[in-house]
Amino acid sequence: MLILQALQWGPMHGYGLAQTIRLKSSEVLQVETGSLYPALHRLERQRWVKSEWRVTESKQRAKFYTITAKGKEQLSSDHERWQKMVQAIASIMEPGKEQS
Amino acid sequence: MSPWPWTWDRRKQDLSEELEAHLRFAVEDRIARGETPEQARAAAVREMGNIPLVSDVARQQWGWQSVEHFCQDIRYAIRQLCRSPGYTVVVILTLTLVVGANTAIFGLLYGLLLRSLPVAHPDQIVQIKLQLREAKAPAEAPNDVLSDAIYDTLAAHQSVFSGMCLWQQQDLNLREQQGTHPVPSASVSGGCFEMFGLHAAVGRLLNESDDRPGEAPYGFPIVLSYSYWQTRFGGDPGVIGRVVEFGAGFRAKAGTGVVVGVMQREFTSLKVGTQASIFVPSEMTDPVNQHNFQSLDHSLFARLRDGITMQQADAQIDTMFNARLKQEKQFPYFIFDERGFRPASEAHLVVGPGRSGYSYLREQYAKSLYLIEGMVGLSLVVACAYLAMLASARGIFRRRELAVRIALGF
Repeated sequence: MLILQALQWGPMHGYGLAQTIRLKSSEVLQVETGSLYPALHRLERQRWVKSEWRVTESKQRAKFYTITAKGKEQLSSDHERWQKMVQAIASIMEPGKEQS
Repeated sequence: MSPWPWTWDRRKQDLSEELEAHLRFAVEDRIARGETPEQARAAAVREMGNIPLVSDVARQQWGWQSVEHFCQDIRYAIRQLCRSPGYTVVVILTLTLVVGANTAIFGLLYGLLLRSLPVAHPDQIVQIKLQLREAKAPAEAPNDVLSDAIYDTLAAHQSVFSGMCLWQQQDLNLREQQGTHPVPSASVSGGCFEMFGLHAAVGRLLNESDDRPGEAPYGFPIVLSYSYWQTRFGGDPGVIGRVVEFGAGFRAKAGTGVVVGVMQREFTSLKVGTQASIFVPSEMTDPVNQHNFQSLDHSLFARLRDGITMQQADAQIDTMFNARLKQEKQFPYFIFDERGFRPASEAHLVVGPGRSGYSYLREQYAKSLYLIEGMVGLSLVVACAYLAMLASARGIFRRRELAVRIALGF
């Protein structure tokens, strides 16, 4: 889900994705390559992202991933499920608080 | 995502390039942040972790791991075989000889004895044979050929068959521009093709109404075989309606035939291993309607009605046949073999399975073929035992390696 969300902001290669997630989460989430690349390939196989080889500004070849329409649908449904999960956990951990 | 070898290699290449690019970006970033190149590289590599493992896990996502492992095993096996050429040659030679012999003999066996006719419900098809017997002597082997009068007798009163087929294979003289030449043909009773459940590739097949005495004004309806239609008439569908001239032959006088259809491709003849090029109605080859008991020149097939067994059919038709024979002035049958021409005293109709047609070669060769088939089958078993022994002998030489592998866990 995080990868799909990161790709919403534009196509990126694997390293860029790891950096983006790290930065946006203020160094809390550090995605290891051992999980990142299998995840990317699985997403590609399920056709939620597509990939192509491009040249970066520093004239180097890298494989860029772009989110597809199906991927966007998947992202929104994942996001919804995540919200539900967060609410459910919050209602247990802080039962006094009102839910919005 | 396909497992084909050429795209597979390219995608593996792709993946390693991708990981290398990741490494380069990581190193550049670290250098930009002020580390030295060696430090940057070491730190980046450590951060990435076990690169081959990452690559493997990513590849697993593609699926087809089992296929990849299988291909690796095959390549390993081939390498091992190349390393001991003597063993490989012996194995290949043994298997070739044994499998070749088995295939050849079974091919013969199947073609002559087992292959069933390309008809509907071949298990219901039976052949009626004539068995003659001399007084006080054991019965002769049943004959494939019998007389057309038998067909007449049965057709009138029988109730055990849903259809019968009288079949006579012979050459008919086809008259063409270049001259007259013989063409292998079969003359059939009208209900034959319907009984067998055959279909026409073009036009229609013969039926009961075609098999009447006397030539229609345009000629007898005839059916061509598929291959004859292809070779002689070029597969032209316009062959329907073509008039064909026949010269006088052994049984028939000269006449004309009109092509009304082409037989389906799979059916060639009831006689195993032969091909009838033209199918004509039986009346065409019997112009003076001389159905008698003496001549033995037709084969008779029938289809059992549902629920009737061969024994029941045999009982009924044999009784009918013998009752009719009693009306003949003289017993019509003779036995002719190496001891000469002798009158028979008894004749019986025998019903046997007809699903694989008939063949004069069967009685002669069936026993020998089964014997040879048994021998080559046995030789296959012996060859397999031999190869198993060879393989386990090789295993003994490798027992130390195998022990280590078992200890290591694979």
